[in-house]
Amino acid sequence: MIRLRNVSKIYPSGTVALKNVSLHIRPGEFVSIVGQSGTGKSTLAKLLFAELRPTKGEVIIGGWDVGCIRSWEIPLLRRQIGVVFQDFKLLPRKTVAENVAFALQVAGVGMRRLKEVVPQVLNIVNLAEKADRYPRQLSGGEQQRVAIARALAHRPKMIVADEPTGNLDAIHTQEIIHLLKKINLFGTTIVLVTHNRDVVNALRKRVVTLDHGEVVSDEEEGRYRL
Amino acid sequence: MITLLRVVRFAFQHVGRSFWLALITVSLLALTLLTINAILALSAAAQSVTRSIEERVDVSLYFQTGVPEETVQQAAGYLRGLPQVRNVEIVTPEEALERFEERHEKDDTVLASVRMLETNPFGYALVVRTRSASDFAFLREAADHPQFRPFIRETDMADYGPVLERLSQTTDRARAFGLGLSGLFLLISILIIFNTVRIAIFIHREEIAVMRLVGAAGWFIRAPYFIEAVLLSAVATVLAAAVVFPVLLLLQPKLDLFFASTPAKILPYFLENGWTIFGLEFVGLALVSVLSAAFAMRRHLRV
Repeated sequence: MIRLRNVSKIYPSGTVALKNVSLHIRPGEFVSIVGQSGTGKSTLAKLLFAELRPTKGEVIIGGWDVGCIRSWEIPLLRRQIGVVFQDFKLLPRKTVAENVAFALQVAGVGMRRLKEVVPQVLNIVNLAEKADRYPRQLSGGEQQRVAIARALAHRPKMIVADEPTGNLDAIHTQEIIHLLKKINLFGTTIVLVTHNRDVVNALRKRVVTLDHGEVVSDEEEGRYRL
Repeated sequence: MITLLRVVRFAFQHVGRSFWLALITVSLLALTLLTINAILALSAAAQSVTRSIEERVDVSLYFQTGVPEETVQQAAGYLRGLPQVRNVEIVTPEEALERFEERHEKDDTVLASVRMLETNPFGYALVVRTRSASDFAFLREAADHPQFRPFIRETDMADYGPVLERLSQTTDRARAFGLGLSGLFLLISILIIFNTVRIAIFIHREEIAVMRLVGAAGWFIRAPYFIEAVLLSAVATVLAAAVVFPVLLLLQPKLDLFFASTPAKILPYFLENGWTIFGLEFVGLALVSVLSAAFAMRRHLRV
C-alpha cells in the first residue's frame, strides 16, 4: 500500500517540485503518472523508493514513512521495490546474468537461491538464452528487459518504472509495456512514470496527471490529457 | 559469512581495477614505513653504541704503596654502596705488576727498570664502573672522599662524557630530521589514500548507484573501501619488511667492521623485535588509512 498525504517537495534551490500531492495506490494496481517535463513526475518516483524525502507531508510505503525512515532501513525498503530507469543502469562489465545476480549478491542472498532466482527472472523477461551476453551486445529493448529482470530479482511488491521506454523505439516500447502488464498480472504493483501518450492511452489503466507539481486529475482507466 | 566474502571480493576487485593507482599508493606507504624504520635503525644503533661506551666508563683509583688491604676494602665497600656504581674491582699490587708487565711486554727498557727495583712499586688499585655515563661527574667527586684521600696516589678517569654527548646530539638531530620526514611522508600517504578512495568511488560510481537502488546496505557499500585501505597497508608493511631485512643483512657485517669496538647491533634488534615493529607499523598505517578512507567516503560517497 502506498499513501501520499499532502506531500510537497521543495529543493534547496527553492524549486517547488511537488505541491500538496495526495495519492493512494492499492496493492496490485497499475498506475501511470503522466505530465510534461518538469512537472514533478520523477520527484514523485524518487519519493517512492526513498531517494528523496518529502519537505512536507507523509509518504507511506508498506509500513515505512519515507519522511522519517532511518538510513539503515532504506535498503530494506528498496528490496521491496524494483526500480527501472530510462537509461537502464546496467553494469557494462557484467553479463546479463551477473547484472541480475548482482542485485541479490549485494543483499546477501546465498548462492543456492541466487542460482535458482536468476534463470527464473530471465525466463520471465524472455532473455534466458542471452544470459551470458554483455549489455553492449543487446538491443535497447533487451537491455531494459534485463533491468526489469534485475528489478524482479527480489520479488518486489512494487515496481517503479521512471520513463522506461524513453530511449526505445515503438516496437521495443510495446515489448516493455507488455512485460510490465504481465508482471502486474502476477500481483506486483506497477507505478509507470511516462510522458508517452500512446503508451498511456493503450494501457487503459489508472492515470494520475501532474501539472506544475500538483495532481490535476486521477482517473481509473484514464487517458493522457495534456 | 557469504556477505563478508563478497565484501572482500569487491575490495580485491577495486584494487584490480585501479592497479596502478594501488601500486603508487602502496609505494608511498612503504616509503613512509621505510623512513620510520630508518629512524628505528638509527635509534637501535645509537642505543647499542651508547651502551657499549657506557660499559667502558670507569675510574681507576691508585693507592699509595704500603696502604693496607683493609683500607682498600673499606674504600671499595663505600663505593659499592653508592647506587650509581655498577661494580668495583680490587686490583692487588701483584696483579697491577702483572698487568703492567703484560702491557709493556715488548718494551724491554721499561721492564728492565721495573725489575731493577727490588720491591713491587705498585700499590692497590680500585677500578670503579658506573651505571651510566652521566654518573661520571658524581663518581669523580665521590672518589675524592676525605677519609681515603690521603691514601690515594693518583686518579685516572677515562671520560667518555663528551663522546657520548656528541653521539646523543647527532642522534637526536638525525632522529628529528627522520621524524619530520616521516611526518611529511605520512601526510602525503593520507592524501594519497584519500585520493585513491576518491578515485575508486568515481570509478565505481555506476556500481554504487546500482547497489543503492537494489537495496545494498550502507556498510556493504562502504566496507570494500575500508578493506582496500587495510589491504594496501598490509602490502606496504610486507614490502617495507622485505626491503628492511635484506638491507640490514647486507649492512650489518659492514657496520660490525666499521664500529669494531662499539658494535651497532641493528639487525639483531630487528630480528628480535621484528613482529612487534612491523605489527605496530601495520596497525598504525591501517588506522591512518581507514580514517583517511572514511573521510574520503564522507565527502564523496552517498549511500
